[in-house]
Amino acid sequence: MAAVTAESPERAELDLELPSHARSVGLAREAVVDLARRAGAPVDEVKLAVSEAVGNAVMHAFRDTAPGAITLQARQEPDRLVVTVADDGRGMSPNLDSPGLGLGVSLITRLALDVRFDSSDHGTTVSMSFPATAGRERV
Amino acid sequence: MAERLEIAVEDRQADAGPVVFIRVTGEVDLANADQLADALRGDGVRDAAGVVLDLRGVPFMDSSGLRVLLMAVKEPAPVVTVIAPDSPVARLLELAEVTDRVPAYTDEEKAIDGITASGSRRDG
Repeated sequence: MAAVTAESPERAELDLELPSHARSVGLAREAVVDLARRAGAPVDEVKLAVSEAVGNAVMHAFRDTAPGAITLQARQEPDRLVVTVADDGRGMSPNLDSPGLGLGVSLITRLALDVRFDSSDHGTTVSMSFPATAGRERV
Repeated sequence: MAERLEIAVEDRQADAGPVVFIRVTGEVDLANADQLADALRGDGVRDAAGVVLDLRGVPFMDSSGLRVLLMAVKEPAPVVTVIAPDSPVARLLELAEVTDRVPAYTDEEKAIDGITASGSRRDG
C-alpha cells in the first residue's frame, strides 16, 4: 500500500493506492476517517460511502481480468470534502453473476452531497463530496 | 478496519420454540461478510423457530453485510430478527429503506417477541 498524505494547517489531503483486495475496503475507510473528522465532514457517511465505492471496485472492476490498483484521494475544500475512488479496471457493466453494484451505488448517492460516476474501458472513477465545516471557518 | 468477526452462538428456548442467538462483534464489510452468512447457515439454524442476530457489537456495516441480512430474512424459515438499537447498523437499514424487511429491535426480549409475532402470522 502506497500512501501519501500531505497536511498543512490550511488544507489536508489524502492520496492512497490500494490493491484490489477485500482487505482494502477497511484500509480505505480507516485512512479517510481522520481527514473527514478534521474537515468537519460527517464521518459515518464518508466512511460508508468510501466503503461502498472501494468495495464495488474490488468486486466488479477486475472481473475476468488481472487485479489492478484502486486509488483513494480526498481533499478538503473551503466548504466540502471531496473524495475520489478510482480503479484501472474494466469499467462499470452489468454482471448477472455478481449482483450488488446497485445497492452500493444507491447508498453512495444518498450519502454524498453530490456524486459523479465516470466509467470507460480503462476504469471507473467515483467522485463524491460531503459538507465540511472546518474549512469554512478558516476562509 | 474489518478483521475477522467474533461470533458467539447460543441455543435458547423461547415460547416460539428453539431460538439461535448469534452475537456478532466487529466491523462488517466485504472482507468478512461471508462469516456472517456462514453463521446464519450454521448448526441448528435450519431447525430453529427463529434467529436473533445481536449486532450491538457492530460499529460499522456496509452493503456487504446488508446483503447477507436481506438474504437471511428472505428465507421462509427461520424467522430472523436483528438487535441494533440507535446504531450505525440501524442507520444503514434506514438509509437503504429496508426497515420493513429487517426491523431493528432494541433488546433481546423485543427481538424474541418479533419472532413470535412473525411465526404467528405465518401460522395464521
